[in-house]
Amino acid sequence: MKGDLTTTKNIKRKQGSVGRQVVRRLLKNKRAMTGIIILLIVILGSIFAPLLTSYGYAEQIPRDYFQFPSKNHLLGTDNFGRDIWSRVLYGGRYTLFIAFTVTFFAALIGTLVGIVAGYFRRLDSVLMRITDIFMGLPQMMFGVSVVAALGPNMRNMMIALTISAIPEFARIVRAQVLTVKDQEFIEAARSIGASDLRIIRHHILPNVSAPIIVQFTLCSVNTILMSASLSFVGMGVQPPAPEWGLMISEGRAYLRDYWHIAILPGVAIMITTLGMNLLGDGLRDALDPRLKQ
Amino acid sequence: MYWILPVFTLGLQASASIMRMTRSSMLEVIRQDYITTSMAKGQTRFLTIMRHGFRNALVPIITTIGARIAAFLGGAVLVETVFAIPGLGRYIVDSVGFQDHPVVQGGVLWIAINVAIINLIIDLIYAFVDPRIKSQYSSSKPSGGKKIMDLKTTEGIGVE
Amino acid sequence: MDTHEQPVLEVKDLVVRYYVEGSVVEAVNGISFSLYKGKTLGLIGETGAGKTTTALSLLRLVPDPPGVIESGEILYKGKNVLSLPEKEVRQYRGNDVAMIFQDPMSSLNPVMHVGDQIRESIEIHENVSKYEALDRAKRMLESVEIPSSRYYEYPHQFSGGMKQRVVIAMALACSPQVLIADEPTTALDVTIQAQVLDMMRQLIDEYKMSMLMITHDLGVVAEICDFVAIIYAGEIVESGTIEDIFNNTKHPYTIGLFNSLPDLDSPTSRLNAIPGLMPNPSDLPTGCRFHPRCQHATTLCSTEKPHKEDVSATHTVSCWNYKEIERQ
Repeated sequence: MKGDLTTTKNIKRKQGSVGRQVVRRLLKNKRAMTGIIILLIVILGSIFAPLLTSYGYAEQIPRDYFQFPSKNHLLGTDNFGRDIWSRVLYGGRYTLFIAFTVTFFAALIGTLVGIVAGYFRRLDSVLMRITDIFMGLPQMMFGVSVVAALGPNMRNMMIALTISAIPEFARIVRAQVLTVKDQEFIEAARSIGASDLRIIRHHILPNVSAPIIVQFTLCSVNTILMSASLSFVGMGVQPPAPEWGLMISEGRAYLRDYWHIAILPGVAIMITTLGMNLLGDGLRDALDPRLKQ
Repeated sequence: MYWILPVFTLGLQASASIMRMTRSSMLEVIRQDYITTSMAKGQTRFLTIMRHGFRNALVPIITTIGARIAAFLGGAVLVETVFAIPGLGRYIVDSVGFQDHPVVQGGVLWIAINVAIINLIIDLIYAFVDPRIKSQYSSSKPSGGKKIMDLKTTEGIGVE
Repeated sequence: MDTHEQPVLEVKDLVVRYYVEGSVVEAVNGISFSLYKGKTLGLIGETGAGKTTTALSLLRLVPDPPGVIESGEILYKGKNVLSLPEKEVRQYRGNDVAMIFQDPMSSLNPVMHVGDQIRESIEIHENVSKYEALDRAKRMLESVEIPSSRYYEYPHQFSGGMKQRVVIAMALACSPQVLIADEPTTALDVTIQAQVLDMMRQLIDEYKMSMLMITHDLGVVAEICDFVAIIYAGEIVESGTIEDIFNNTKHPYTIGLFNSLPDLDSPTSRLNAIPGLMPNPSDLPTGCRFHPRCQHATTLCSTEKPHKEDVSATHTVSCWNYKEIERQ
């Protein structure tokens, strides 16, 4: 009897594409799911803010000031009589917007730089030296300097944060490109005449996307903290915007008696970063190729 | 005495990133063959991890520690402001408010110089910890001069 | 097998499984073999057959999640290794049974002097002073033909073959009774392979050790082994002395292995590969594990697992139809 070749079919298991596998692993990961839920709450909260509160974030009600959390004001009011619950909700919009925009552009430019530096050896040294320069500057100081030069507002702060986040992306992408570039399937692709652009699009990009995704979450977390810090010292978002860092700074004077003004936005920052970190950890675990069986 | 709280604040935060990097670096190292070899020699798990695992995991951890130190130089602004410590960070930030540009320029320059020095020290420490890196710098040894490994491999990302 | 003397190391019905993400990988399914003093057993199998898992089990080094040694016994000089307390297992590892791994590049700790890695073996098991251990480590280096002046060098300063020799020195430092070699020459050039094998044979003869040589290379087996066992999908399908296996091959898989070796003398235009692939250990076929690829398979083969039959006093086979098969 002839050997049965259906054994080969047994081996090609129906596992679906890599992406699907990753998503499945992600959904099973408790940490990641917790992170996603937390983030969803924050995101939905800030999008639907007008539905969740009747007060505007800058609306001052002088007779209501310094109130502790009550049924009228879920998180109390601050020294100007502004409802803190609304400020936290609307503040979420600022935070998320800043975090995602900065990270997105940093990722975009950083990935571009990283691919060019890793793939085209001639430009590598130049690009890496420039990157090293920017990496040497502590983010906070860089942000302060840029804002000092251009003026303290949200836009300038975002520019500063984006620039200081680019090097990390560039470095990670470059390292990954270098690893992938030497693998044989790239050589194989080139030997059948694939152009550089094609190779980059089809072979390199999919393989470098994992560290980029992980770095995306890490960078978002860092951006949130940085923007809160910069706004805290007055180098970022300006009052009366309800940015969480700014709220903490404004509430500092009243910490002893009315701690809720400063602490609650801090809690909001903590929850959001926690959610992102959990998601980031979960992503890292799910994307880890070693765990593939 | 009054240094305790600010130090604790900054230290706690830094320790979190260092902890994370240590964990991922160790995880990467643990699955190497020489760990199994050490166990196969009859070594205890503890000593295997300490002697063989830790030293090999050290390079990315040191990178992170160095990065943290550099970040502190300017980034301690927040802590300085809150704890009313007359630090460099706060001086620079306040000067920005006063439009005192020379101070800002000088301050940032000074920080940058310090960061460069710290990076240099870290690079030297690498050579101590990992003989492969030491070989890269000395061309008299057999394999010296050739680049053997990427110094700042961020394996922590978990993907190769 | 030679039943005149007691085996140094005896494996009985070993079953090892890996539990991974919902599926069970049946890596080792009832393996039994014995190692005798001064003799070498070659364990031949393709990648994925369960060779490394078997070797790791002998030292109880199977990674514990996800792997579990389900059942069976591993008797070293009569004592069951699998039921020893942790402390005794550590004494046993390296001292009684030592193992060398496939890839010398990664078996050595890159940040430690090579000499110190040998010395560590000695210090773990023997109560000697630091200097005496140092001395002995240097002598071990010399015995694998590496000048002891290179004691303080690092692994990256050695070539592949030399690294493997360091690994051998490390394994033999405490004069173990058994050496498990997991494809020790696979990562090396052919010329270096010969050198390393020669050296291993010399040292084994000198120390009167038993060796388990795991490999997929029949040439290596012919060079250095006294007994041979062929492993497929976690089971031993044929075992015997080297004459039994090479001259009187009985199992279809083994015959397939021999036939797939290109023969310089006969004119062929195509290589004779065994059709199909090694089955997925989490999804093994019913009956005889080899039946889907076997040209002599009958319906019995697909439903019932064959028993181990004696072809001679030394030679056993697990196949329903071995009597009808002849190797061309």
